[in-house]
Amino acid sequence: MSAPTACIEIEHVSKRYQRPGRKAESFLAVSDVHFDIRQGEFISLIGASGCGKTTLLRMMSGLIPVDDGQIRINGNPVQGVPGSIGFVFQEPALLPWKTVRENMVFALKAKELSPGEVDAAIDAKLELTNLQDFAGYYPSALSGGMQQRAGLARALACDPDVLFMDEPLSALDAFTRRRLQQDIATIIEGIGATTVLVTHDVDEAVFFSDRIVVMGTSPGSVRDVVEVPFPKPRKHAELLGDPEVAKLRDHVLGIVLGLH
Amino acid sequence: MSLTEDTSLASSAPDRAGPPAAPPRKFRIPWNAKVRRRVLPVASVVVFLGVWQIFGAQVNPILLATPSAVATSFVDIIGNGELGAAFLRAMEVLAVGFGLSAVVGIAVGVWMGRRETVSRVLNPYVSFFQATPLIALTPLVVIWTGIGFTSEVTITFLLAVWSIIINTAEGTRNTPAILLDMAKVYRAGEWSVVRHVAMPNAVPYIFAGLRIALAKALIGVIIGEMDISLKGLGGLIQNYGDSFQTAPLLASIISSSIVGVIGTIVLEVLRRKLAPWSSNASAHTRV
Repeated sequence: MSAPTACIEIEHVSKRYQRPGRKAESFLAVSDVHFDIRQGEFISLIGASGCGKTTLLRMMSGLIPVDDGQIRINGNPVQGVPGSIGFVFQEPALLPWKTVRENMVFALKAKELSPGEVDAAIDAKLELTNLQDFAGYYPSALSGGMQQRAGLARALACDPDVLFMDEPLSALDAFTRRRLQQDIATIIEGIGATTVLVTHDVDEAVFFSDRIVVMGTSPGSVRDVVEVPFPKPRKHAELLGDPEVAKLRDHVLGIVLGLH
Repeated sequence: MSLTEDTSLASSAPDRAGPPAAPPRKFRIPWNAKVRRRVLPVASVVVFLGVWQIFGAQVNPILLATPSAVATSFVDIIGNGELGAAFLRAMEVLAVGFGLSAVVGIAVGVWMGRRETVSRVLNPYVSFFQATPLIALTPLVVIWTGIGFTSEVTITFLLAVWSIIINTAEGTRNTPAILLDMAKVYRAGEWSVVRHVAMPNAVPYIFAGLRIALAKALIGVIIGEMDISLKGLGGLIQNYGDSFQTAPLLASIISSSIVGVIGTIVLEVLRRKLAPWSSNASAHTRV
């Protein structure tokens, strides 16, 4: 088989939430979602709020269980958080009482590495994210962008096969966001991890993705999957004036808004 | 201070082509923020002591001793070793009783904060004892544990522990969900979550609980000594009160507040050592 193998298989997955106080009523957050993600692929989940994209991401990472269907990573059904993932949260989610390095040490604890291996893994990822001079800083002394970089360095320190990112850049200003997008794209292409990004920013989805999964609301389900054919590595400067890029962006936006 | 600085500046001004020399001013109290902050509290206490001294000299010394008489008593009971021994004993009861309540209170509080079932089971008792004036248990505690050190430590413990439990549980429960998710993603075990995530998050709450508990523990120490063994600072207070010696009585009461001040300082030093991030100022200077 020469075709790229599936890394994440999402098979007819659904999730219901009980409405608080009303036992009989439940609300279908994710309904019968079914698609595969290939090894090394970059997928964006995009859609209006309430479309279940974050719920789907949390089920893929094992943070919450699926109600129906199954999710497999590298062939293994997801039950609890697998050991081979990294996760970048919407907020930096750094422990304020630990330095950047100590935060990374905490993430590596479950791997039971030797102190030397821990130091080597951390140093490598700090350099990759350009944080080598900030290892001893507490999060409160770093800017929002730097905190998110530290969150990314922590996720990478575990050498993940799969990287999940839940709107990691949505709280940053437009300029910091663009710079970080460029840096993150370079880093992820370098390590070749399969990546799933939840975002509500169509430009960001087009910039990063190999495919964009557009989700719709009530119930949350997949509306369309859009291929992004532009060659990598991509540069913001090159995509900016490209009419093909603009066309694709408008197409995706149209699906999100339900115009197509 | 600032007046002399003003004049020196004014006299040197004509040499430079700077601002014109200020016209000579009459002396006025420099009523700036620094003066208000430094001078007013001291002035307030001095005036209070002065009024007390004058008023106290007019009345029967059994009703009210003057500050100077209290100061003399202080010197007397320090000199004959009475105060030192009493002070140390009160500190011992406080250290053991409050220390035990801190250990038990933090452990139980974290357990309640992390396990909803535990919290639901223990909450009725915690709420009940927190609201009860437990000093009323003194006779029962004496029946159980006899007269002396043990019963006083028990009273101190019983008064202090509930505030610590309640605050610790609250702080543990308030751990941000995103940090718990993060710990889950990196597959941290329960002990690791408690030690690295939930307990550090609870530190400001824990110390708030400890400060409240310290005040209650001190009440336990003094009342315990007054009621049970008649030793220590509470013993001094009870004995001098019974014999109408108002000056050493007041000196002993003031000593008991010094015990409280020392305890508060120890807590603050501990907080800075154990949790430098828990005050914003130090978190920013630690880089």
